[in-house]
Amino acid sequence: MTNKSRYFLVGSAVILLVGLGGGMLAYMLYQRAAGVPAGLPVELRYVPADAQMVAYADVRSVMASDMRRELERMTTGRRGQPPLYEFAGVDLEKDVNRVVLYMPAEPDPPAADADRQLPRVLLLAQGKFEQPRIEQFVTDHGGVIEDHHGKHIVIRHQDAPAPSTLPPGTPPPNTPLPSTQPPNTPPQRRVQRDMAVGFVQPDLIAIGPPELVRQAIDASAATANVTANADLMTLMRGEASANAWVVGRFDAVSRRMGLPSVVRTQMPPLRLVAASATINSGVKAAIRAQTADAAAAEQLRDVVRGAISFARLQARSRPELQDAMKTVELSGTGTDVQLSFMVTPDLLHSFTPQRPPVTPSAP
Amino acid sequence: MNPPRRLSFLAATLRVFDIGVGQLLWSRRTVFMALAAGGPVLLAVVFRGLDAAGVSTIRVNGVRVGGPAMFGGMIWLLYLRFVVPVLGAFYGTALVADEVEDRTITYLFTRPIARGSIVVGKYLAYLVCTSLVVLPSVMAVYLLLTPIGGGSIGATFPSLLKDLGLLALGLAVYGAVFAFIGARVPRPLVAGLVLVFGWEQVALIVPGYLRRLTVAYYLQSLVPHAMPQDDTITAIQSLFSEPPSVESSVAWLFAILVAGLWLAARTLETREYVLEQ
Repeated sequence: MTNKSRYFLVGSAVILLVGLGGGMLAYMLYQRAAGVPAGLPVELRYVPADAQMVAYADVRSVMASDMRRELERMTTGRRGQPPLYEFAGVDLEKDVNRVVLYMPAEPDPPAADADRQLPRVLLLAQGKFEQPRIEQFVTDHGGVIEDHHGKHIVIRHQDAPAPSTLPPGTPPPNTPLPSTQPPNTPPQRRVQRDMAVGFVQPDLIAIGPPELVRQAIDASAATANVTANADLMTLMRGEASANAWVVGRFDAVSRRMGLPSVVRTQMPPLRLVAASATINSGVKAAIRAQTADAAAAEQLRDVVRGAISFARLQARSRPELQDAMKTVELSGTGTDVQLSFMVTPDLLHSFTPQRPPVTPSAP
Repeated sequence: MNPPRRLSFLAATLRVFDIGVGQLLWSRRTVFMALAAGGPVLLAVVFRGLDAAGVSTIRVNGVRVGGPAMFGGMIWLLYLRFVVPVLGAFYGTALVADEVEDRTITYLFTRPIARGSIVVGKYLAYLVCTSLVVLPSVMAVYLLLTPIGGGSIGATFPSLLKDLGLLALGLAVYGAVFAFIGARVPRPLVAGLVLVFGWEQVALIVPGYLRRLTVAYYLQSLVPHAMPQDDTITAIQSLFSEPPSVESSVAWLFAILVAGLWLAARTLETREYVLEQ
């Protein structure tokens, strides 16, 4: 090798290494600014500190898991059409790597409206997205594009119809239709809210109420995020190894989700709840609850033990259930109660109705 | 007089590599490699200059395309679909074909080295030279484009690492395939270009298992950027594609690489090259 060749190769290698070094430094500074511990999704920096519930799913690993393929096979059959995982121009199977969902802190709705108002949540999806395609999809369905601090938010108002679906002569959407119900009848449907899709980063979109999407776009290193919430972070660190988990404040979440007050009063006082699942060839699930005091935890453990014993009695006649019951473990000390179990494809097969064999019709 | 001692396969490979680097870097084809690697950098400089001057460069459906999206588009449309396969075709086919055309292959065969080491040594020279030209070009484009529109270098750095890895793997696999074609086929460059712009494009859009017989099928599944829906062919490809997993794509690409190199070495060892007078 001549000196000229050697210098050229070394020079190219130096350029490459300098670029990689600079990029690595920028990445480490970015991670540090995000303030998210290793093993947890970086998108937690967009979750406010007072979030009541946070959920995470490693969509890519779940979609690639054998369990998911088995579920798909069971639901569609050998020659069935595989389900489409596309929504709003986003292919969940190919485009999305992970999602984080949170429920922000809000005052409880009036008791009369508790069943009518859906809890507000924001979904943050990280992956590869084509902004023009998503915007086109939403605008085709009646959405409008808004600029927020240089970033686009596509908002679909709850009363906006898709322009292409309106046949000619149809009255505009705001025209009140004649009511067929007797007067003073309370409406049964839940109140729908405006929905928005915002492009927080080129590889991160936020889907949810417009104000939460704007909040996510405005989030910066200076704003407090959920990493400052010690309770939820402790739970998250415990579940970080799973590829799907949800943690939250049980009391606030149960009120917002509309859990009947009769059920809530029957349950021991739970402070925090976490559930996780590691999905590969089966599902290894774990549920963890923190109660207000040790007595409540012991009470809850007694209830769960009773339920497990009852389930084991019922499973005596079914060998596949017996194998599943062997994986159930109850543990925890102090105010902590933990329940773990395994779900295998065989167990799911035992619950699904068997299809009759297809016999060819006689000529 | 003692006959010259036969070099080990590794020593012979390294010796051929040493000579091959100089031949590759300072040949006529280097002009093309410089254009292929420098063109995207020039384009990135233009985009960055326009952005600095306050002119928004690319808009799709009225939406300004940010730097990371532009970089992803260049990876797809320029590097993955053009630069890597064409460099593989130009240089990979020339590894053996140039020696045959220049009638210098006889001198290599008279050396006390395994014939297979000639292919492997030249292939390594090709890989090092093309990687150290293309990857710095990608790095430069990344640093120029990413900050456009508020993109974050820190946030997108993991994607860059994946891009560099997959482009290096693409150069390696295409090089191995075209090295075999160069050793086997009389007019290897034509065959190589037909393979890249003919077979691969058609096989990727035809429904069925044909696409699994292309290198592009496995490479495209590794790209961390959204595939730009720029034309009908891309749209059809995305409609019918069922992307393989990352692990199986990498495994298949390595299998193609090893098979291509082995076949090229085997061809050189067994074939009689009749040089035109």
